[in-house]
Amino acid sequence: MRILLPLLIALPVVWAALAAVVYRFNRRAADLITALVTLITCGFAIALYLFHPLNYPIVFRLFGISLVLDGLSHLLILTAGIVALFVAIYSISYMEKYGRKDLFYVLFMLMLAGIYGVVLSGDLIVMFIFLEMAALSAYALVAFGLESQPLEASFKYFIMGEAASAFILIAIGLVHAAAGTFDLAEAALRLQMTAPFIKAVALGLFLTGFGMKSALFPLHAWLPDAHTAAPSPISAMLSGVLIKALGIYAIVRVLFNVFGMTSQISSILMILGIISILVGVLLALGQWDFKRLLAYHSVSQIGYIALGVGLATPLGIMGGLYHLFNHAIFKSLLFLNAGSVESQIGTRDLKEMGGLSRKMPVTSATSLVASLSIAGIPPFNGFWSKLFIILACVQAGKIWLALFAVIGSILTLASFLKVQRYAFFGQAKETLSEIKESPVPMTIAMVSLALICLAIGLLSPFVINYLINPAVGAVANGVGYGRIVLGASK
Amino acid sequence: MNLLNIALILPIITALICFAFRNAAKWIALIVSAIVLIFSVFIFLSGHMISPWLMLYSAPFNSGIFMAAAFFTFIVVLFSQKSAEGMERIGEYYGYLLITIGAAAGVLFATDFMTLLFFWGMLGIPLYLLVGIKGNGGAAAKKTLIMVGGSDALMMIGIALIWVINGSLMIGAARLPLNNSFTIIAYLSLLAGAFAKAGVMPLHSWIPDASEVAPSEVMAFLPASLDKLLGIYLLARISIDVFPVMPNSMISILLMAIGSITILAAVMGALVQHDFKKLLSFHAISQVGYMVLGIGTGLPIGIAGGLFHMFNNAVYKSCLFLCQGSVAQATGETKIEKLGGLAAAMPVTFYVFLIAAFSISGIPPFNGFVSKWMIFQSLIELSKTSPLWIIWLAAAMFGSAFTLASFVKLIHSVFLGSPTVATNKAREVNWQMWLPTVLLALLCVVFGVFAFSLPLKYLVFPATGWILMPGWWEPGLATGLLLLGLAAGALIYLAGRTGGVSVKPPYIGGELIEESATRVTGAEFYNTIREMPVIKHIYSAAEARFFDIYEILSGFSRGMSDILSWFHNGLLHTYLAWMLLGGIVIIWVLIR
Amino acid sequence: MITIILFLIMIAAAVYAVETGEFRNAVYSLALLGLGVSVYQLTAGAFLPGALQLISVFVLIYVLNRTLLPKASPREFAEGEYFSRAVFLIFMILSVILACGVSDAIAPNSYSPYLLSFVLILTGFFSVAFKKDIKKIVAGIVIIEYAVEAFLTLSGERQGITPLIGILAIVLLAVIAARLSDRLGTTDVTKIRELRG
Repeated sequence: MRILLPLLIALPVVWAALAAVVYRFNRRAADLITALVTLITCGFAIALYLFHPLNYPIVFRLFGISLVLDGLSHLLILTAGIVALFVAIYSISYMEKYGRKDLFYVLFMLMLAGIYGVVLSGDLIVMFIFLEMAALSAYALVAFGLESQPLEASFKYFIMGEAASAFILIAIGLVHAAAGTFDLAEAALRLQMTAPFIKAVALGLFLTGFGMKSALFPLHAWLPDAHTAAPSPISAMLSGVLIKALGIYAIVRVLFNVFGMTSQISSILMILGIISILVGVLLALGQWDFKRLLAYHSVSQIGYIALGVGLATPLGIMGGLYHLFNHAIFKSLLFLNAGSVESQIGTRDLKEMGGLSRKMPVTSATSLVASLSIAGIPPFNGFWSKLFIILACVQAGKIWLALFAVIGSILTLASFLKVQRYAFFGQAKETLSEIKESPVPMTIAMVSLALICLAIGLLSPFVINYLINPAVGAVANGVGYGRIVLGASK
Repeated sequence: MNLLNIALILPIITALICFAFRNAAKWIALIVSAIVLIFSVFIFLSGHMISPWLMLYSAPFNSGIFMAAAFFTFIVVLFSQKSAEGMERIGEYYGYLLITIGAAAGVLFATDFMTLLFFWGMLGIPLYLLVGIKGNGGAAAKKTLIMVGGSDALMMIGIALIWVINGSLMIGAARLPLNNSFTIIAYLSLLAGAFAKAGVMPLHSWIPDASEVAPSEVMAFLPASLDKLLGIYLLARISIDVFPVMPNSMISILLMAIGSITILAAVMGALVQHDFKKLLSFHAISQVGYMVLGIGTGLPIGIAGGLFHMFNNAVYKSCLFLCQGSVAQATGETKIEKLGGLAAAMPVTFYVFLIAAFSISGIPPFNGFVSKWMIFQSLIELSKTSPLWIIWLAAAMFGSAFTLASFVKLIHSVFLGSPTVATNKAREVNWQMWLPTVLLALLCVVFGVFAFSLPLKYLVFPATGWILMPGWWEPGLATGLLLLGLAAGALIYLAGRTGGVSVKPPYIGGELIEESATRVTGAEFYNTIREMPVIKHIYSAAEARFFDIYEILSGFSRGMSDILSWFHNGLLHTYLAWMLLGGIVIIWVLIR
Repeated sequence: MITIILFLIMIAAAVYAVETGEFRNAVYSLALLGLGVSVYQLTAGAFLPGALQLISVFVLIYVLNRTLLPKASPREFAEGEYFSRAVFLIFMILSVILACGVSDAIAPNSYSPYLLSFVLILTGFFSVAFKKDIKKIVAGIVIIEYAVEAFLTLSGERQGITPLIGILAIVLLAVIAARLSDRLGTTDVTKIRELRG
């Protein structure tokens, strides 16, 4: 099973190297192999769930570099695998209009490999390198349209992203100066004996850097630009996976497993989380650009995840990680919906839409499912994770946070019903009379994600038991992570 | 398989079949709703039943309400066979109806709050889609789901608090006294859910908006009957089993104040409506005020009266909406001014409507009278301990008076008077449409005449315990006050009809003009009330939606959104400054 | 001592790159900075990063000359960015204080190289934050990348391939910035604000 870990990273990298060549000879083959690669990595994630004992990490070592798979990274790999699979299928037809599909596949595969690498690496420098790999591919993909908006968004994203990367790298240097190692597990053991001042500064730099990658308020300003300007499948990938793998995952790993959680960090995360929830959703409420609205909701939903995780109680972590998984599914679905609408009618402006439920029934129905999911309406998946986060807030005695989370949830519902009202309800405009449903690969991707939303909602106890709880266990180990991983690698 | 599970799952599964086969949908829905009705009777008759798989249980009280819900589903499906024939999304329409009854089973039979919340939230989806079923109701459907779904989200806090305080999510695992802020917050947040569903002020405003776009069948099904049953069920459940509301406690006074305001404000709104359906929708809000008032007393007889009123209201209100649907089908018109003289053309609908109107106005021997009488009785009983009773009593009385007045106006202008362009070719509707309304009207009579031997005994008292009625049918204070209220209503009606006694052919500017231009429509009867000094301002504020909590809050959030949006000025340096500022604060907090 | 002199040279190069009006000079002074980092890494025994850093300098010169050099610069200092400038000043002051504390905590006996490396990083941040010419912003990012490399080596890293990643980022950034200024016909970052709200 161990060998699957490097394969998860190597497979996309190898295909990234070959894709351009294969594309030159046979375009259809390149489409299919890309989908196949994502399917295989997704299959790996599922296979690992089936064959490896719960709550016990797998460690793969090569040349002193370690890859570690525990419950938390496993959840992220599954999330990334599922979203990447449907994004790849969707892109087959969506990316036709952009041209340069070979370059797209190369960048997409590099980004996927980077995400897997970040999540799997057990070493800070390796983690940083994969993080940069994913981030650089993301900058390039945001600019893929080469229009003024994508370039502007990409530039701003790039500058802020590099500033954040510098913060992270300085923090890594401080950890090395203090603990003499880049290895997460060893650092977890040694950092407990170092001076609190350096630890605190390093932690603050990590939190700022990773917080920017995950777009927590006030580090969120790049996100609405970047996620709006990127091609829709990439927006799905960015909002669905990237901000979580590079942001939330890294925060959780470093904070809980390496530095150890304290009440200060907990309150920082909760406060940033709750402000993100409210600011993100309020900004979304005023948007008329379909994708920008969705992008601001990513800020808001990341806030829920940070709030849940920041509570640092088992229930809170469970709610946060469950919401991470759910958000990946429904937000990527929403971006795919937005892309479907945009590619068919040529605009993202909600005011110019209307009556699309008759013209585009699949897009309309799946977007309704996703909207209800994100708004936390049962029986869809978002309901459960939001419920757990609110239960956890109240359990921790923070009724005010629960109240704000609920207000955020109501406003989320309001803004998505606005989308439904303006885009899908009503009479179709004259200009939209010739509109048809999107091509088959796009509808397949959307319907599958919608069904997953429903399935997770209905099978919630199983999902919690098999996917979320191992991740919660890994987080709850705290700095015991070091001992466990070092034990597992012997 | 357990009947409870079947009652929940069968409609939801068959709803999917309805989506797929739109031509067969009406038959599937008819058969399934009949099956569910039969099952619900079995469940009711078997007393207690438990399904361990989904943690459902039935007792006489909740299975009685489910029986009523199944009955209304069946009635509406039956009515829709003919009335909804031309609907474009017919498959979805029946599918949503079935999902609603399935989810209602989940709500009613739930043993714990988690299950209840799950199905409660699920009910919002078919409601949203049914309000928007004609495709033009985007705004109203949006408002409906924001208010209903938003209050569901609030319920999460209440449920979380109960879980933390009690250590258990079972409904009624322990009685929580309403004497500290935690239980009060929990109670209020659950109340928000119940109020939004039932349409109690201030969470009522989705109902009139929905009435403008939703078909009459939908109005009869959801806001008039099923949502009332479920909302008041939850209110009663939490007020009896979880947080016992003590008479004269703060919460009791709050509930009664809300009930009274709802009764009066909504009926005042109803008085000035020009749209048949919208007028009925205001009464749907007003009537729920009586239920809240009754349950809010905290006295057994008040709770019993409130619950009985819940059943009664569902019967006559769905009947009224279906009659309105028949009228709309026959004439294609919902504006009151354009209707008139339908009594001769649609005799069945007219008499049925008359009975239902008498019921809602609380005229004996129809069912509305009995439940209102019980509520009045409980208020009188309250007089022994609280001086505030007179306010509640006055509100209830004037509510009755205005209700009668507004229905007299309605009956006059829709069924009596002279026919109009829209109504002179109207015919009685198909039997499939009038039969359900006749059944409901019969029920109005049966529930009124045999109140104690049938509905109270079997449906209400299982929840409240047997109540000895003080002075039943004696010419006591309650009866007298009720009749006084009716007399006041008649007076208001007569006061509105000033002038127009002598009849002459209209003769203006030297020539005879068409009669339709001068006929007394009845829609303007109460313009005198509208023109009164203070009330005039209240009406104009209400029309500008100053009292609509939805509009207030959405205006506030839009303002906040604009402010935040202004800060995102597109400058890279601003964004970088936020980021560095964030970094400074984070590091400062950590090294402090 | 040599380390300190090297760092002082690097800081001088960085400051010149930020403040010079001629972008060609800025490119070569950035190259000097990169060279300094490389020399420092090689003398400290970090051969792989040092070698990669050396290669990156040539890539840097080539790429910046090809992409950004031909673009015309705007006049400096736009009006009305008081908020961000104030925040940056606070950030700079607090960062210097923090840098003193951190350097002292890491190496109580030889803190000056650490302090100088932080000053180098802050020079980069200064350029990114105060300049409205996107060429200068790119130069600032280059300084930050190089300075962080130097800091990593200082703190004991010897094996990493982070310079490779750094130069890849710079190449991509330069290409995107050049495309952007082509598309909009300006290199003034305060005029690049189509996306807002």
